[in-house]
Amino acid sequence: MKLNSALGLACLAVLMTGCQHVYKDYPEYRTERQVELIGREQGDEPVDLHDGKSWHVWRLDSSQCLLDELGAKSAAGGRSEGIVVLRTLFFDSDNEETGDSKFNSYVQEQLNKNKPSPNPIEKYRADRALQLGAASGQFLTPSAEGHFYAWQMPDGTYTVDSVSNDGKGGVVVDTSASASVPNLDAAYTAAGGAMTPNQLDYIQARSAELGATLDWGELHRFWLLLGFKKRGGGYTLDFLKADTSKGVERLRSQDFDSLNALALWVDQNGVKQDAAWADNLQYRSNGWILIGVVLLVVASVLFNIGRAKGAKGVTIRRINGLDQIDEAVGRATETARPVLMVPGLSAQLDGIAVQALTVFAYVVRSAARFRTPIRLLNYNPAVYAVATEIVRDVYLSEGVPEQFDPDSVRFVTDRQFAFAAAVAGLIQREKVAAAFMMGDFYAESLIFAENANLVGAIQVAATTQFTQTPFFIAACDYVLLGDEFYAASAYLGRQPVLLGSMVGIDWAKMMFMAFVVFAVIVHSYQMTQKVDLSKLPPETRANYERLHQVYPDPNKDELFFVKMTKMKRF
Amino acid sequence: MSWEKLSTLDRRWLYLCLFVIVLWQTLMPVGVKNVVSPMSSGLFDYLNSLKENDFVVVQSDWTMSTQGESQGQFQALIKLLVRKKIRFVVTSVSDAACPDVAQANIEEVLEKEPNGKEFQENRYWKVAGYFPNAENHTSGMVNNIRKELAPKKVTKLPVMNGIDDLSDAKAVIVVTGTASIRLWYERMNNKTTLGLMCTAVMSGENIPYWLSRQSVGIVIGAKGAYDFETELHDAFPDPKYQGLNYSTGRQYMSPLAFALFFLVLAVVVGNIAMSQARKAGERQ
Amino acid sequence: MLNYLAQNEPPETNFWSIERTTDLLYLQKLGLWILLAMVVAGLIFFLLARIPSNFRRPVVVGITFLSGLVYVLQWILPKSKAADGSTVALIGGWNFSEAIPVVSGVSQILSGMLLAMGVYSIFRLHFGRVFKGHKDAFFSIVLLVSLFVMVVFGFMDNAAQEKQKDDMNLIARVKSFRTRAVGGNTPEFRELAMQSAKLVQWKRLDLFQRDLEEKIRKGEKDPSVFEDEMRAERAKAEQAVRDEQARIAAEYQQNQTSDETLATAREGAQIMRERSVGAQLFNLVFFDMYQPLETGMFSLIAFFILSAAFRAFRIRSIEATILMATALVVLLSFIPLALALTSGIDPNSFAGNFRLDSIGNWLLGTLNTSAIRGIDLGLGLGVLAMALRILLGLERGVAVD
Repeated sequence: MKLNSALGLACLAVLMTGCQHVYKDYPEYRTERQVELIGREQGDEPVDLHDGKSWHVWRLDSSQCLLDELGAKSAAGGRSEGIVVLRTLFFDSDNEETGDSKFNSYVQEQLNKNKPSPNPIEKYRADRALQLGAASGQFLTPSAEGHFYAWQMPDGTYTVDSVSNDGKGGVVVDTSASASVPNLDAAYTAAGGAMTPNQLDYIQARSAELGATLDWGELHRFWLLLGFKKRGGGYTLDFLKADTSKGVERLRSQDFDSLNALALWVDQNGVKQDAAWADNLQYRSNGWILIGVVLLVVASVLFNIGRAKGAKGVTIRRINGLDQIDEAVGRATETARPVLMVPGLSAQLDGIAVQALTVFAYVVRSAARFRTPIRLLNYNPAVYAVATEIVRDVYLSEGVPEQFDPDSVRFVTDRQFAFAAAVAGLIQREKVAAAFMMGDFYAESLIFAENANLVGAIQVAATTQFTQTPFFIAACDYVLLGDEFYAASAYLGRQPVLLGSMVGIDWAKMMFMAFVVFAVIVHSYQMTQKVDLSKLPPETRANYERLHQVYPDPNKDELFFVKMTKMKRF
Repeated sequence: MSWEKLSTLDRRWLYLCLFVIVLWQTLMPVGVKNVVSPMSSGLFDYLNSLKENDFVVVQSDWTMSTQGESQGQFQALIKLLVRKKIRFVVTSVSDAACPDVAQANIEEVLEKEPNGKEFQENRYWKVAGYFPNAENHTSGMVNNIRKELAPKKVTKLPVMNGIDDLSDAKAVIVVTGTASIRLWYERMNNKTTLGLMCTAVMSGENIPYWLSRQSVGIVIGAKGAYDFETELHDAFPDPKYQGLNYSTGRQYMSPLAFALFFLVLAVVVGNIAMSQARKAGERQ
Repeated sequence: MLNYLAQNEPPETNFWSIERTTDLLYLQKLGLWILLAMVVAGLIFFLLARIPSNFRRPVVVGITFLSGLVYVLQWILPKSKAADGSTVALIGGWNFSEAIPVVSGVSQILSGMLLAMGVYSIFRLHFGRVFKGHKDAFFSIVLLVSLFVMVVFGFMDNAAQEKQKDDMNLIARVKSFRTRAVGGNTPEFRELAMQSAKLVQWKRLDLFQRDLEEKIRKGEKDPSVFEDEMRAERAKAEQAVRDEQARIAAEYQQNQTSDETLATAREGAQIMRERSVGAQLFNLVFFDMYQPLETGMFSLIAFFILSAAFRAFRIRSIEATILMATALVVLLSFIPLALALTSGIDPNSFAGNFRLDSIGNWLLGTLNTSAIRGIDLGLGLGVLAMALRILLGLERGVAVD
């Protein structure tokens, strides 16, 4: 019975989420869709985007539009079952500022995209050669809109065309703007200069490798595309990184049967704008070194955790603040005043808040034993939920569940200074005897600390915001500095796993210290060695010569560790 | 009054003295020539070197609680951008009230600036709004700025013409009272220049990033606002800007200076009283 | 030519992206979705509660591990698109980055639910105090009243925003429909335009009055001209309203809509929003009451710093003396009055090293920076270790096993 109910629910879920509704025919689709868009549709009509697909637009009451792509659903045997909506595109209201209709703009773009180009590139070259009576033509340089192409005339002069991409594999050339120049050098000048030495070196090497000549190119924002015409026929397209100042990096290559096919593929498949962000992962440009170091630290921690489990206890030095917890709770018991705990102003339930609650669990255990009232005030509702459960569990484990007062753990507010006012007010009204403030604190830290000082409370504080640490040091009795907060759970519980992780972190710190010392020695030595200019990339060499520099530039990548950190992964 | 009593003076006397001093200096300020810090001038010089129609991103993460420091900084920044005709888009990640505060302050500056009327919204500037998830937003801005700002209907406005990627922006300037700059240090990836305008308490942890050239300049607290206003005054000597360069930065420097002097005095007097009381106790 | 279509492609739509309305069908579908979600959630909780106690910890640790692993892998593994746009299969071609918005969405929903729990905590505590006659019941009443007032005014402001949005949609529809054969104006738009014509003129009159008062205050105009000029301007405004409304009525008769009318309607919608009761009440409690209270609380810190410094900055040892002297120098380097004492020294000379700002900058840049870098490194490693412990379920807590 229960299984049947579960299956029924699962089917319902599938129905709601997955199954396509099949309309018997086109009139039924229009009728039922109209019912679905009940009262909100103002008009509907089919739309032809010249892409072989069936589109139907619904104009809504709010000047928004829905565009349905319709498809035929076929059963086994090829028999048509009806029409389904393959996908629906949604267009917001018209752009109030510019007055554009987003739907109209989209339709125009699609129409432009789907109509074939009236001037494929090979047709342009054939027609233009005839028109000019040119002896031959050659590719000059790529440009942002397309490329420059030079035609050699029978009298030895050159005509330079600026060839622009039309986005459909074809080209657009304004022949009235073509330049007539006396020789090839002038042709390059008219094209804005030849390609850079790095690029020319690459082209020469690649041409020799492929048995081809460079016949096409485009310069995109992040990529340089070069098309090589092979002697045996066909084209090879190379994808290079656009920034070649430090060397040419080829990402991939692809072969095509013809130049038309190459140009069409580039426009259709695209070197899409958003592909650029594949290069900008947080750690991508830092390469393996950063991942490797993090993994080393992780390995160090895990190794020491494993080691600590088997060996006898690891020692941690005294942390005064944590030693005073029992004394503070005891003083609160004597004076019959509550103990205040504030786990910081974390925006979410993060590791710092969890660590604070872990320490507070220890405080609550002491309070439960001494029957001392507690007040745990929370800034974040997620932290409040976890804190409630932790405190309840502590009372349960101490065998005094009836002592747990749900109102002792409270969510106050998630506004910074409202929270500060509430905590300050509670401190003043209830005259707390001990205050524990651990976690993320900001400007309100001094408000808490001074108010607690005013009522004579003993205070133990810990924060990861080291801009607030001085305020706590000035106003509190005991402060856990920096790492001591993270060591708190290990210190209080003395569990081998936690102690082992502290040792692992200390090993990692020593590793970093060794890196620093080693890097200082290596870099200092490198900085005294003159640079061999012949080994530098051409642009860098030119820069050094311009500045009359002979020693490495610390801002550049020649230093050992800087080079290592820049090693790419992909 | 004995040294012992002076050493343990009731704090309410201190509060009263501070109140009187700040009130006095607010009503009758003492003007002093400023010595501009290299951290502030680093940011100012960079922004002053930009050309008309350049584009910057301003992340405004302050509300009225830190207005004493942040308002002066923000308004001085906006004045510079308006005078140089530099386009900017304002985003916020800390608090939902931040965009409204930014909008109000920008409009206040534009009302007074000589070319404020030409510096039209949507053409030169736009407050994009609040982005709840700070980490995702910062990553989005670095990776694909148009996609990140598209839901706020900013990308089709003239202010973002020609801006396809964050590298097209000449700078990202964060005006904040929180630690939201950290996300930019982590994720910026050298795409553009980073500048910071922060409260004085945040200066300590951000100076290392200026020293390592991860940010081009830091404007720190009310003094930083005064530095920026001083630089504005020096860079724009045209009479039409007279009376417009200085605002809360200079206005708050005098009470701040006297309050800090009083703090130093209180500490010194407290220490003298403590040592004298100790000596008197030993004699007895 | 760059292809922007990929990033500007309109989003595929489903039930959730269609504009919210109060249509019955929409509400029915919404209700069904909520019911389904509650049933599924109840099923999950039921199953979780039935887990034997010795399996609970592995289940919790497993869920924690998988949740954290998504973020770890997202940052370490590359996107599944190669740099040139072609696809590189990674884990079946699935891109971890596409999972992040889903995971973030789930956590945001959880946050919303937890906020409700937090508000319940507030209600339980303070209503309890009120009904039990606690000695601080008055403060609880103040809190509860403030909470409800803020909520009510917030909703009123939101309603004003929605009304403005509806007006803007109406204007957009009229603007696009006017170019189609279907035709332009609707009676609702005419009503909006008529009202807007009045509001726009009254706003201009308000601005005129403010400007006139400013000029009189500065002495540029005599106070005696105030009444006459206001009377004249008011008459002008009334005439302008009549003319504008007549024009709008004529346009409506001709089934046309001009750009001027659309601009008036747009401005009028904005004014209606600003002057709505909801917006004004919300601005009163949030911007005029809450924000100054927040600023006031922040300013208390100045006093607390003074008392903390007076109490704590006592020279009891040599280290304390050094600390005090350093703090003094850095403090003074932020005060122009103090900087002026040494500003006469040439900064490029040897003596320039002893300028107050030079010493202050050296202290901040050399001593302070190295300390902060060291602490930062330690904190970063500490966070890593703690996160690792939590991710792997090794953090057991010190009070409960």
